[in-house]
Amino acid sequence: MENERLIIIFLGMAAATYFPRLIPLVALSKIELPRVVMRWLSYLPVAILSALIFPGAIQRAGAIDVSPGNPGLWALIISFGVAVKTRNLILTVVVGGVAMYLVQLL
Amino acid sequence: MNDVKNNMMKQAFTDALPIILGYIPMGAAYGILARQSGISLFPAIFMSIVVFAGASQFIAVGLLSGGATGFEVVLTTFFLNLRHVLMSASLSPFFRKVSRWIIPFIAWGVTDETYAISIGRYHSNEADHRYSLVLHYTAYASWLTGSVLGALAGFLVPAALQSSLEFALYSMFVGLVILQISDRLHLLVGVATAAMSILFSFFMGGTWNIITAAFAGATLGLVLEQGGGKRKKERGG
Repeated sequence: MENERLIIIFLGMAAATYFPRLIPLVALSKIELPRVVMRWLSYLPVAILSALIFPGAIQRAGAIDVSPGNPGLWALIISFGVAVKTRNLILTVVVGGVAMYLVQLL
Repeated sequence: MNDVKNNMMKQAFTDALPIILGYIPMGAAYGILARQSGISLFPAIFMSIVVFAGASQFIAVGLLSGGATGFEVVLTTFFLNLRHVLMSASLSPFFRKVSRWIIPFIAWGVTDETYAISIGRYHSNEADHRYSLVLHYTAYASWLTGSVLGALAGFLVPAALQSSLEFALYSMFVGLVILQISDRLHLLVGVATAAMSILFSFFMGGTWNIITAAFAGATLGLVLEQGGGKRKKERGG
């Protein structure tokens, strides 16, 4: 593939990824937001994280797979178990990753 | 005071560890894929330098090798990354007192993973712009390191290890969402959003399911909270 063309496309991608990150931070950080907006923002982290986990974590090759043959399903259940039980982030990450590794070897 | 700042920056680095472990192999996988798809060394690395968006980079490589136009690639990237509008908006109240010229540098490093890690710290008053800078640029450095290794050497970790390191980022989201759930209403928002995101994924392309479900989920939380508050007032509570 031609380098000049790729560089131009990648610069276009740079703009397309940077502006969604930049504009809300610049536009909203210096104004006093109404209380109702602040309350809405307070629910946003839980909502975003839940939407990132589901269905991403249980997808294989782009399709949702809830069969026992999907290692991600088991690793996800184990991750939730550890997280709820211990509320320890590092432990959840380590156990989740190790679980994913071991389940794949089975 | 300086000790507090130093501790915060050390904390940012410690918090970045799961991201480092996830981003290096993922970056390497991107670098290898880019080279295998016929992108030369310099543009392959250049994309990681100027884009810093894992999923979009994988998809761009796929689209380009399938003969897509530049316009299609840029548009797809834009829609994939619109979800960061919500994350950036959610972080914005914590940068009131930060000087204007620092904010663009912080914005550069807002990714799913850095957002997931830092928002909890901000909510418990354990972060400021220095924390974000250390976290974001450690993550960026890991992404670049992985990309360069992959593009240069065909460095590849075994498949099972690769997918485990990538999955560990989901485990990180799980750990973080559990820490965020402080009451029943937040739990309800989490469950409802997950259900909506799954449902929407069947008929929405890209990451529209994430954006739409997160928007609707947060709105649901607000509506229930305001409704509950009013009922309490009516009962004289």
